[in-house]
Amino acid sequence: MELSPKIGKEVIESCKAGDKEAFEEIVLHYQKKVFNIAYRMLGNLEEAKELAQEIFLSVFDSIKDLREEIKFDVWLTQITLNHCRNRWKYLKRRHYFASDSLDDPIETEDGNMPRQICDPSDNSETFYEKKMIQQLIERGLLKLKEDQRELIVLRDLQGYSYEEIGKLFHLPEGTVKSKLHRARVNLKEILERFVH
Amino acid sequence: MECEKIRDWFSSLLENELDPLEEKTVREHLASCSDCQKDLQQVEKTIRWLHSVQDVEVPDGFLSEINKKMEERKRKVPFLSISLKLPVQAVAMVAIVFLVLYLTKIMPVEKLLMKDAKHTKPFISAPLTTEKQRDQLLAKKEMEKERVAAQPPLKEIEKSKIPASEAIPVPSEKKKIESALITKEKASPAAKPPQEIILRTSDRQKTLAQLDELLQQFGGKIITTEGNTFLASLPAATFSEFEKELLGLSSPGKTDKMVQEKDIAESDTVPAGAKRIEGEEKAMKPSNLATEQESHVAIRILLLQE
Repeated sequence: MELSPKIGKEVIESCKAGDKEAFEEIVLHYQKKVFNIAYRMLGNLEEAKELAQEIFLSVFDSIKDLREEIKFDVWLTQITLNHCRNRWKYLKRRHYFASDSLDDPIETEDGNMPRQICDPSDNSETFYEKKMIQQLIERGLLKLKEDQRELIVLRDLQGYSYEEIGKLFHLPEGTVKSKLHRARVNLKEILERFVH
Repeated sequence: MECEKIRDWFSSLLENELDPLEEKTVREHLASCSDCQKDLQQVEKTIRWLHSVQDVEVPDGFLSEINKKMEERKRKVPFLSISLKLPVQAVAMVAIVFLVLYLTKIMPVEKLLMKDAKHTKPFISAPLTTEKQRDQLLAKKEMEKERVAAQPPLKEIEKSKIPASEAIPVPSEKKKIESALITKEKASPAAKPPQEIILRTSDRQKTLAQLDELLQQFGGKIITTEGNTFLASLPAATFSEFEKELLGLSSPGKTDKMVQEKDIAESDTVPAGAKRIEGEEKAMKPSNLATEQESHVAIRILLLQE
């Protein structure tokens, strides 16, 4: 969960000037982060891939308007979250998540897996333990409110600092901490319902 | 309450964000509260699970697909700008034009309908049968026709009473009155016809005699006679009494009084000194009649022979 080193200023400047190679460098540098945020926010690999690609296309279109004083990382995360919010709304309107049930198979990067309703921590290092945790977290995150999901994805899955999150959401660090705690408690309750 | 407050610190405790004093408080509470201990374990497990989640690998061909999409977009842009944007604007313009035309066309119709609806609404009367309503409508139409015919003589009678301030310099007195009337109507959008009463009778002569007698009794007089339409003037104070008596001349339920609802509203809103009659007469006779005979009411009486 370590943050990748920031990309050089000159690459950003070249991309602003329309340099395609600089843009590709940016994509390669940030694709994992953008794709994973999208995936955790939407819970679907194909949607996440489509969305992440759209995000980079809009980065290429609008990077020339990026002001000097705004950090590229913060700006990119904002664009990513905005796209996720819009796509979430779009999918919700189309009842994309309407069939969400505990018995539905869960899509993972290895394909669909049948849901197993048991607490993986109760089993002793089973083969599926990690996968089970992954599934439960994935499902639990989708049950959270969008703003709470964002906080957990950024802080607990992507390792953003409280300071960075505060800047992103224009909130004091103390507020971020208490909101994050509330989100974790809610997720804990959701997971408890899943495993019992 | 104590537990709730302590639990709020669990995330900070697990991330070593509490100051020593706060941490001591939490630890002391945990030592004596098994529920909070359990809850802390659950929160800790949730965070541990979250931290154990691995990033998903980006699908193969991610970048090349972006490049492909960029190329596709480049090809689509000119097509979009010409074939989509222009028609959208054109369609919007056409829609606006049609909407405006539709609205301007439909508004007068609505106004007319509203006017008709008000005009046909009886002022005082119990719910009428369909037959009676039809009769009433016929009578009203007849009245409208006769009103047009009755106006010139009425104006001739009243011509000397037109005040200089309101008179418009036109060659004939008749035109003068008409102009004054039009001006008045324009100035007052709420101009209304006078009181109108329809009398149904089988014996015209007898009813006329009774009407004359009534008018004399109440200090009124017939101003003009045009066929079966009579325009009478009556002191305002005696109007209601006269009206009752007049209604008695006709068979019960067969006398209709038609006054626009507005009349009443107008009489309530006009300033002190301006009597109801003034408003009522505006549309039917020269306005100066009201100024000179402020305490008189004009009544149009229509005789319907059965």
